[in-house]
Amino acid sequence: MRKRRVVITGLGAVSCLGIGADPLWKAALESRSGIGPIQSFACDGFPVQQGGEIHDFNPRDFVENRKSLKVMSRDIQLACAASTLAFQDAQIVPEQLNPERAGVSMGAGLLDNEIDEIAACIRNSLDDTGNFQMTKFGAEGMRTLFPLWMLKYLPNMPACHISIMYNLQGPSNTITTACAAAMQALGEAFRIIERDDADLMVAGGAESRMNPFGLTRYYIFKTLVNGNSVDRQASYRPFDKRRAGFVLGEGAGVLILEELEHALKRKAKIYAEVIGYGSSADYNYLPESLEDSTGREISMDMAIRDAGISKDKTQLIHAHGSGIPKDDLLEARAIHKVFGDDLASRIPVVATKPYVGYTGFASGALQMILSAKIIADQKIPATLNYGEDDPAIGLKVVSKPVENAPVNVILTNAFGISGQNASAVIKRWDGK
Amino acid sequence: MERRVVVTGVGIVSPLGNNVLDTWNNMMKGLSGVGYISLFEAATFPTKIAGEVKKFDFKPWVERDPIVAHVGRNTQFAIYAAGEAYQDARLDRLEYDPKRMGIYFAAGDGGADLKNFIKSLCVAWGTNGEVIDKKVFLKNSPAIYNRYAELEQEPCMTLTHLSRLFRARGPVSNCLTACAASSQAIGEAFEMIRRGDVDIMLTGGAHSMIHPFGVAGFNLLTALTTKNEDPTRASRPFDFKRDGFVLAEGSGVLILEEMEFAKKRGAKIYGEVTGYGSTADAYRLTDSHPEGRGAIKAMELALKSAKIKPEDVGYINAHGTSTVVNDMVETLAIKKVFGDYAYKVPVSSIKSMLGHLIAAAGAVELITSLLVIEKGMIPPTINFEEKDPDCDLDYVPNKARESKVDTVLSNSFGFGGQNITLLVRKFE
Repeated sequence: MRKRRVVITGLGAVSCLGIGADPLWKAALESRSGIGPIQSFACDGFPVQQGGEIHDFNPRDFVENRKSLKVMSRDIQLACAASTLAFQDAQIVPEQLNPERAGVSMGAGLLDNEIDEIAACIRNSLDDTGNFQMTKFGAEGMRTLFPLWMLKYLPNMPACHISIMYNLQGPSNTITTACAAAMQALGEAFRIIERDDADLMVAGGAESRMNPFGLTRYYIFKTLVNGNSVDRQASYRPFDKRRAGFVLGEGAGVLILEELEHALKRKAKIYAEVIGYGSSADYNYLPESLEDSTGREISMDMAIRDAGISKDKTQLIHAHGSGIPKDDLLEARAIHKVFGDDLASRIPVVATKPYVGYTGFASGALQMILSAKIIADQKIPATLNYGEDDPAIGLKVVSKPVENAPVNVILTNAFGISGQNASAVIKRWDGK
Repeated sequence: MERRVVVTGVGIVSPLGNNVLDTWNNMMKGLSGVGYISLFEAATFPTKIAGEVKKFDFKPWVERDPIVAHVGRNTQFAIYAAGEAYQDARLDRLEYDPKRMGIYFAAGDGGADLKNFIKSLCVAWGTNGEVIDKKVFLKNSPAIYNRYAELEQEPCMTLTHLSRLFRARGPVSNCLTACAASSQAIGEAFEMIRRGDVDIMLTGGAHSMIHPFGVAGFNLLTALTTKNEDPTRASRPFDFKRDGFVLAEGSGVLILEEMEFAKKRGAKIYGEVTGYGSTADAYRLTDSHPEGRGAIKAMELALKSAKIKPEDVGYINAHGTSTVVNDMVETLAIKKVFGDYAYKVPVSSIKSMLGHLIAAAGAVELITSLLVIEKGMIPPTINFEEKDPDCDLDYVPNKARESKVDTVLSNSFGFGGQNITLLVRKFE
């Protein structure tokens, strides 16, 4: 049986750079970041006050049903919006799809509670002396929350809402592997089409931890760039010698993956073909004590072998590039191991997280959207803020935008700080 | 040639026992693992009962690897059950290439660090209409929160520990599709071996939502039974007086292997995984599709992928949650797929005895299905006392039944509309 081929035909993004994949791409080509002062809650006095916050997003533009909106956390709203944008970009009328042959695969994880909502419930569970009483919570406090409260925060709800909005009756999956989640959701969607369980998959991820809980957690995990210099925007610099962590972002990325014949039949615009996918584990635990890069090597190696290409055919590596000092070092080490020192020092490497900030569960999808744009438009954006080489990294980091870049094959990485890795290879669509 | 997938190791932590054999033996006796909640003070909650894991001792694992001292309850169960499965499959004595072993798991969240969570809010009450003063919250919360406890809440962390402890370098993934999750994980693990990506997969699920926010959340949704007066009789799938599910906790872990790989090393084989069907209802967040659209399709796809007829199925391990709608729709869907044969094939729900292990439910149910094939006994649906005209199949009421079974179909349907069906068969 001939192998079923899978192509990317739609891109949907919501990020601090705007609504849609085009504003994101435009800003990237102009070397413009969306990171700025956090406005949605007061954080003056906190060591971190900048973020890639989305300001112009109105969920009502995307979700008509008011009742649905009420049970959607911000992560879910962003996911639904990105899926709508992806369908629009692919010029698909969802009603015309065969619903049983279309599915959804999303990256997600713990969704943060809205702080005032959960706090009101806790406040109604205090006794006269201001102490929390479980008996009061059970009898009264919990009633402060609305009946469908739990659904607002279940990790599988982005995928469920999307399946309901667009009547997607094929497989529905939710992958929760932190920063590798969206890439794994994409890779697994690729597999589902390849093995003939669907003809079209809506795949990507969404995360919004742009709130006091999320900011606190990332802060105590010691992954954020601290300090509040005016140069904050420029302080997110993956692979640079001065790198010191990441700046938090929020967003959603969704791609439409389609079986090749299905896409050709409807004369779809094809951005790229997905030709390889790999996933693996590192035995790492804490972000500051990362030691193990074996899994990163396996992930890239598996994706390249799955693609059936020789390593020297890789023309660009779109790195995970989190900006966490050790994380970048391990990624560089793994690239050297996989490609050999000679190739590793010659293949261009780009990291794009400084445009939108670190978007966790969404990051792999936003990266893949940019990879698809790079390959379709033959332009490479710069690794923003990159200025000082680190001899320990030893990679050819793209520091200035490249016009007319003949890129036919891109390897894109998404590595979770807690050990899960995923890599994908896409190829320029040349009409056959 | 098509690669075939067999099960070579199993492990369980459940309300009926902290290993496979105890859980199985107690199910054969028709016992219930449900009792009053002891993990927190639930006296004033609408639901005061659950299926808790009992006499669980995680200390030996902490002594072996101090890093796991901080893990959530879900990960504790996962590690413990994985240890049993790994040993059962004798992987601890096998020199294998870790790149050729992967993990596809269905771990839930690790549970909130409730005390510190509440404290972080109570020091930051706001004024001017704001419930919380964000500035004050941010100033204090980093010192209040324990970073390990926060980190271990993330559903990826179970995978982090499993891959390290059980030497798996290959593909790793964690899906969290509510009550369908571990069945989906097993199905995807099966596909990875079939495709040739790996030779061994550790798969299954682990979950505990028996915490105040979990019980409150399900209570607010009115999904739980409130039959508090008689805990062991509260979970009653397909019975006329069913009124909601009983929340439970635990883990089920399976080792899947490519058949030739398993045969070559002389592994004990429990059975073969032969079919997997995965669909979405695309209907509503809380209700199943009234005609069981997605459930029907999932069962049909699984039968098709196993290339068998409905009549080849000797036993159906139902999702059977004990909610009014699920049990009715599942019955309807079985009748639609199996026709007249639906009335001849035994159908039972072990949730009647264990309660609902949510993300871990499907894995424990598939292990049970494999033991049905091995031991020639079918577990009962206990608390089946009064017939519901909408539920008129043979639910193996109240007593385990001796029966030779070669093929089992197992259903798992998740909140939000994910439907998974798995098929296992006797290994010849």
